[in-house]
Amino acid sequence: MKNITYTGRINFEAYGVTIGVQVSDTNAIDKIKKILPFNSRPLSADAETEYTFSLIWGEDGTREDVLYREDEEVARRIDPERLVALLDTCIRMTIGEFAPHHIFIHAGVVGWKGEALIFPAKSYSGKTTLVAELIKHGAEYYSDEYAVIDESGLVHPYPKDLSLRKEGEFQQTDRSVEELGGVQAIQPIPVRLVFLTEFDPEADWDPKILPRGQGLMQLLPHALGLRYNPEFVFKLLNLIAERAIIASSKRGEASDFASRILHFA
Amino acid sequence: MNSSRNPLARREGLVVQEMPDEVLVYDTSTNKAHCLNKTAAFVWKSCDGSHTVNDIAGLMEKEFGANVPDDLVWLAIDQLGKDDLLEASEAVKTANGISRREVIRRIGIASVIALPVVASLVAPSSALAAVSCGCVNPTVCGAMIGCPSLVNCNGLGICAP
Repeated sequence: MKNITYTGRINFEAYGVTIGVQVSDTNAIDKIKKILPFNSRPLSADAETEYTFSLIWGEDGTREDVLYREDEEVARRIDPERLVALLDTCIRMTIGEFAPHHIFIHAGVVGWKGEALIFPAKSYSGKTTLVAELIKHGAEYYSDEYAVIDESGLVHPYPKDLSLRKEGEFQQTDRSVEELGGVQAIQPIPVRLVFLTEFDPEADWDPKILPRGQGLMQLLPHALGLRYNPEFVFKLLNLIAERAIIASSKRGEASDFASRILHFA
Repeated sequence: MNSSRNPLARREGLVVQEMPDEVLVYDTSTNKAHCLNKTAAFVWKSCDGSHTVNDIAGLMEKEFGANVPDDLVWLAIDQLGKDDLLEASEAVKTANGISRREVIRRIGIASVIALPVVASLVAPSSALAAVSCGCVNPTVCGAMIGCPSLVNCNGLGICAP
């Protein structure tokens, strides 16, 4: 890593993880403030942090745009907006991986009749579309990114606007849950159902309840902290599995699936 | 009986979560997770170095109330050994290469006890490692090792679906 003079720094804490972002261009600070994660609180500029990201950002084109995590280069030579978006992802993943009192499962989450329905899924698998349909069917919005679960097994809201693609358009646009006619949840709730599903246009609705171990095995790859703290992840997932149903089915169109799943739950 | 001849469950470097009919095991040295069904879990927990294969079959008969041929235990030991869930022993060497098909033939498909099954998966690489797969076009992804996708550079500039 080159010798860089950093002109600004933001430190913050979220879910027990402390993170600092240092920048070579103070113009970047305002953009970073906009991506600070949900539930974060600012720390003083001289506070010690566990993780540090460095954004070397030359808007005048005389320097390369580079993002570092500690001394490791994450990305370079992509436009500044993309670099900030990537930093946003890095921050969220760092929190999700190292949070000491919560586990983060990559999933869409809604509340239904006071309990959580969790849909673990990879990125770009239609999670947001499904969550949006569930909201339109009356479910409360918790997250379309992570199921954030505390040590007593309760799921917490982790909201952000939903990036949806309008029919016939390639570009995604961010829409608030209110725009979709839904409600942002506030309270942590217990888990009622973990539903493993993937889109298949030819699929029939055929839900199967999985034995606990098999269900947890399918859930494990979606838990961010698995490699870092497997004992904690096992403990919390088992706690969920003691109370919740773990089931799976392929799914067709999101709207049809949403009404079926709410009936199933 | 010489205990080095008997199967012995590995304990070091493993995170174990017991459930009513299954056991989940996470191997921190390989970052693999294993789900042992009831039969495999019983055999694994009985591998304390003091029991022979025949002893374990006897313990299973008591537990499950059904006839348990030694072959069923050998099959479990073979699988557990291959997944590195047993310490090296004569028993593991002997079980190595046992034919599942042959064992099923000998036991008979009408066995009331489920065959031992160990389902395994490798934990995805660190979430942060995936983020390191920065890209500007899909061509770059082909040269990245360990990224979620070798062919797609997604909207965030990451080699991932």
